Amino acid sequence: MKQGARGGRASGRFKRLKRRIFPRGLRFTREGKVYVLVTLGVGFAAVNTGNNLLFLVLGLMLGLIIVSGILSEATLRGLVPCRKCPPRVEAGRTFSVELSLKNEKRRVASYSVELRDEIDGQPFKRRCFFLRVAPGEERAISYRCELPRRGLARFDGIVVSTRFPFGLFEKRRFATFESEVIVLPAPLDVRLPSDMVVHGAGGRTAERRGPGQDFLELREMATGDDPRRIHWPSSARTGTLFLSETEAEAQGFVEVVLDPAPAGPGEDGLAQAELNIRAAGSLVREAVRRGLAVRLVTAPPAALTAHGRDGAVDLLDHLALIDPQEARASSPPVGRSAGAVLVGPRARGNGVSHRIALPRPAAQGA
Amino acid sequence: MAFGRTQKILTFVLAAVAVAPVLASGEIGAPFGAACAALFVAGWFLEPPFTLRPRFRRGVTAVVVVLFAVQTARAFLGGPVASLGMEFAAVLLGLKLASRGTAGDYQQIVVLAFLHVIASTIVVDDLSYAGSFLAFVLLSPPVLALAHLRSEMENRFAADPRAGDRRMLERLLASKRVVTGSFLAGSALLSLPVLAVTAVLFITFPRIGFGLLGRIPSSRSVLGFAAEVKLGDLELTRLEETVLVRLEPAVRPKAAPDRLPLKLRGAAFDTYVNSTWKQSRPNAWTRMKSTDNYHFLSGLPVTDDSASYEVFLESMDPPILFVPEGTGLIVTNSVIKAGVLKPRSLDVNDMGAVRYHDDAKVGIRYKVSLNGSPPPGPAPDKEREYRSLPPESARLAALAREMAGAGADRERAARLVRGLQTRYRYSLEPDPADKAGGESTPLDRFLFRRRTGSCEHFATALTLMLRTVGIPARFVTGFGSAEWNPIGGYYAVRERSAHSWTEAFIAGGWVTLDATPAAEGAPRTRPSTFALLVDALRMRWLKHVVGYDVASQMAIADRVRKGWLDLFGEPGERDHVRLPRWAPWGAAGVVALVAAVFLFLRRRRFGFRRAGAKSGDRGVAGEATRLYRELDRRLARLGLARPPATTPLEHIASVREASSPLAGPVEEITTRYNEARFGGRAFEPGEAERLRMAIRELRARKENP
Repeated sequence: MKQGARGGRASGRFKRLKRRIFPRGLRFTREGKVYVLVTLGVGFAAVNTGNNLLFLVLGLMLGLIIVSGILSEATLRGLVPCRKCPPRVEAGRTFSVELSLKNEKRRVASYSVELRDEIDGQPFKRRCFFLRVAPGEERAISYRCELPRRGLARFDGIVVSTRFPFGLFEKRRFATFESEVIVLPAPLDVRLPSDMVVHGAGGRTAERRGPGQDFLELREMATGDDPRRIHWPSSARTGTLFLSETEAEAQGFVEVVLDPAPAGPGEDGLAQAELNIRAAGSLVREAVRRGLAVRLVTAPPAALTAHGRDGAVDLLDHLALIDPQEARASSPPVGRSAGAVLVGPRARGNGVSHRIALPRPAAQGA
Repeated sequence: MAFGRTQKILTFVLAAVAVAPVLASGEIGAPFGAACAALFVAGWFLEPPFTLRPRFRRGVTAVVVVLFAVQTARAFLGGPVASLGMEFAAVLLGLKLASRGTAGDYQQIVVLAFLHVIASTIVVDDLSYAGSFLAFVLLSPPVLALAHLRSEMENRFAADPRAGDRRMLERLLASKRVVTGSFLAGSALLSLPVLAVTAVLFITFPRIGFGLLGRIPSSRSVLGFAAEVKLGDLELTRLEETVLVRLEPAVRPKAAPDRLPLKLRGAAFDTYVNSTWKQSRPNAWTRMKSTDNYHFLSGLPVTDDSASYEVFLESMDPPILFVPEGTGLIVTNSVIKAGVLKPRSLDVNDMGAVRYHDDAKVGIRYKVSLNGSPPPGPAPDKEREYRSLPPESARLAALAREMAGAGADRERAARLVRGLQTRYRYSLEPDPADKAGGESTPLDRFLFRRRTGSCEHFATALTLMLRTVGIPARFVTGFGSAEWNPIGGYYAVRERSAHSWTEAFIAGGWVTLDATPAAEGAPRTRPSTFALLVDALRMRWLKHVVGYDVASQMAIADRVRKGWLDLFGEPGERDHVRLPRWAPWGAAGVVALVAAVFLFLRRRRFGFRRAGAKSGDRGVAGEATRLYRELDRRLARLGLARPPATTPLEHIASVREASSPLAGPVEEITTRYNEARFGGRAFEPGEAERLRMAIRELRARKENP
C-alpha cells in the first residue's frame, strides 16, 4: 500500500516529463513580488516621461533580476544532495532523516540552500537549511520525520532550492534520489492470550543464544566459558580460541489468523481493517518478544512463519504492505494449527481459537 | 570581517550614496538635511539590543507619524509635494538607520535607498548623480545579498524564541566565515554584469515619452541674456566658472588652440534707457524658418566643407540658443511629444536672437554649420530704427563726432572702434561710484572720468556713438572665447567668458564690431587636468545619458544597419557605408571572447569526462585529484617536490628513502588517492577533510617530527 498516494501514475509521469522539460522551478517571494511591481512602476514612469535617468534605474532593476537568476543558477549547480534514512519505521512514530549536501564546485561557495524531501510526489513540510557550503565541502542536517500511515513510503527525490542572492525569487531543482521506507503498522494495546500458545514446539528457534541444535555464531572464548564448546577447526585456523554458540529453541508457537478485509462499507470499514492489521502486528511483536515462534495466516492467502526477529520483520513487512481491498475479494483466512488467535470477522481457526475483540475505530483511534 | 559589521558598514555607505544627490540638490530644507545627517551619525552608534527595546521603537514610530502629519499639512498649505516627500523620505531613512535591529530593518533601508535613487532622477541630472548611481550599482549586490542572508538567518535561527537559537544567530552575526573576502569581491564584481545589462537595456528601450509626468523644473539662471540687461550684469556672470556651452568640432583639429576666440551670439538689444539695454518689442518672437529639423539663419548655401560644431547647451534661464558668428544653419534633433516624433521648433526675434523650448529643463543639443553668414536680422525699418539715444547724450555725441571724423560709414565705424580701443583701457574692476550712485551715469564715468571699463561699457559706448553719427547699431551679448578640452575633444565655454559687442548696419548688411581692447595683466590660469577630466566626463554624461534620445537610438540603429550591409550586403549597397576604424578590432575581440568561452566550457566538459571515464565516479576522482594536487603543492613548498616523470608511488619511495618525517602521512594520502582515483573507493564522510587537515599540518610535522 502506497503512503499518501494522492496522484495517480499518470500525474507522476506528467511531473517527470515536466521536470525533464523544465528542470528548474521558479517562484516569486513576497519581496520579489514587491520588487517586480516597483520595477513596473519605474518602467511606466520612464516610458511616460522619457527621463533617461529613470531608464537607467529601470535598467539597473532589470539587471539585478537577471543577475539574480544567473547567481541562483550558479548556486544550485554542482550541489549533490544525499539522504540517509532507516529502511523501516513505525507509523506515527518520529524518526530521523539525514540530508547531506556536497558542493562539488571548485571555487564558488553556495549560500542559502534549502533541501526538502519529496515523499510520494508531495514535498515534505520540514526543510533543511544550509547557510553556506564551501567549495568541496559536505554538510549534513537531520530532521524529524513522521509518517502517519502504514505502507510503503517512497522518497522520490530531494528538492534543492535557494533564494540567493537577493531573496527575490526561489529557484529550485529536483534531484532524483529514490529510496523506500516500509512503514510498519503502529502498535496497539492487545495481549496474546496465553492459552493459545503451544508450548515445547520442537524444531523452532527463537534467534537468540541458548541451548539448542542450530548453529548461531562463533565468538572468542572468554573466562568462564565451557571449554567443551570450543570450535577447534576455527581455533586451529586462526590461533585464537573460538567458541561455537547455538540458537535457543523457541519456547512455544502461536498462530495469528488475520482477515484484513474491511468489515463494512466506507471509511469505517477501512478504519476497522486498519485496526485489525495493527492488532495482528502487535501480536506478532509480542510473540517474538516472548521468544515464541509465530505463524501469520492472512488473506489473500498467505502463511508466513517467523522463528525469531528476522522472521518477524518479514511478517511485519507483510502486514505493512497488505491491501484490505484486495483481501475483500479473496476467501477468508483459515488457521492451520490446533490453536489460533483470530483477528477480523471472517478469520477462522482449525480447532480451538481465540478471537481478539477490538473497540470501534473512533474510540481506539486510527 | 564579521557578518554584522560588514553589513552595517555597507548599508550605511549605500544609504549615504543614495541620499547624497537629493541632499546636494537643495530640494530638501536645511533642517531636514541636518536631521538626516544627525540621524546617520546617531545610527552608527546605536546598536541592538537598545534599538530593539519596545519603548524606543514606539518612540521612532511616533516621530514618523508626527513627521508624516506635518508634511501632509504643509502639502495642503501649498508646499511642493515632491520636495516634501523627499524631506520625509530622507528623515525616514535616517530614522531607520538609527533604529535598525532586525533583517526587516535592513531590507527597509535598502528599499528607502532605492526610492532615493529614483527620486534623485527628477531633481538631479549632473555628474553627481552619475557618481551616486555607479556607487549604488557597485554596492547594491552585496548589500542586497547580505540583507537576504540575514533574513534567512533570522527566519531559521531566531524565529524560535529559544535562547539557544538566539545565541546561534548572534554567533553567526559575529562569524567571519560567512562573509569572506571572496564573497565581497564576487558580489562587488556582480556590478559589472549589472552595468552591462543596464547599458544594453538603457540603449534599447524605446524613448516614447507621453509627458504625463515630468521633472521638477530646474535650470540655471544666467544674467545678461534676458529681455533687459543692466550695465554690469555681465560682470556678475563673469564671476562664475561654470561651463555653460560645449562645442564639439565635427572634425577634431590636429592642433587646437588652448583658447579659441569666437563670438557666440546670444541676445540682442535696441533700446538704451537708464543704463539698461532693453528690447523694444520683447515678445516679437516668430517660428524660425525650417525644414524638418533644419533651421536656416541666412540664405547663403551651406556646403559640406563648412566648419561645423555640435553644441551642448546646459539648461539655462532664459532658454537662449547660442550661435557662433557666421552660422548659416542650425540642425536640431526631433523630440517626442505625446508619443509622436516631431521636428523641434525654434523661435527667432527680429534681431536674430534664437530661443528654444526647454520644458524638460535638460538643455539642448544641436549642430551649427558655419558659412560666413553676417549677423542675422532684418534691415532697420520704421518700426525698429536702431537709432534711439538716451537723453543725456550731448557729451557723448560730441566725442563720437570728434572720434569718427568724416567719410564712409565703414571708415567712421572703424575709427570709432580704434578710438575706443586706444584711448580706453579694459578692466574688470568695478566702479565704486556704481554702488554709491550719483548724478553721472556709468557710461559718462567710463567715457569721461575713469576711462576704464568692461566689455559692456565699450559695447554700449560704441553702439551709442555709432547711432550718434547716424549708423544704426545694436548691443549684443554672448560669449567671447572658448577653452579647448584635450581630454574630451571639445571647446568649453565658461560663464566667465560672457561678452558683449556691437552690430552695426553698414552698406546694406549687419557687421560685427568689437571695441573692447585685449585684457591687460596676467592671462587666466588653465584649468587643472582633473578639472578638465571632470568636465569631459560631465560632457559624456550629458551627451550619452541625459541627452540620449530617439534620434540617438535611430543613429545607433542606422550604424548597425550600415555595419551589417558593409559585412554582408551586396557590393552596390556597400558604397555608402563607413564602418568605424575600430570595427575590425572590435569584431576580432568579440570572436576571440566567444572562442575563449567556448574552449573553456569544452575543457571543463572534457575534464569531467576524463575523470569520470577512469574512476566511474567523477565526484570521488575529482576530490582525490584535488587532494593530491594540494599535497603536491605543499610538498614542493617543503622541499620535496615530485618530478614530473615520477609517479605518486615512486615519490612515496623517494620520500621514505630520504628518511623524512613526512613519509607516514604522505604514504597514507597517496594510497588513499590511488584507491579513490583509480579504484573508485569513495571517501568516508569527513575523511577528505581529515586528509586535507593532514596536508596542512605537514609543515608542523616537519618542524616538530
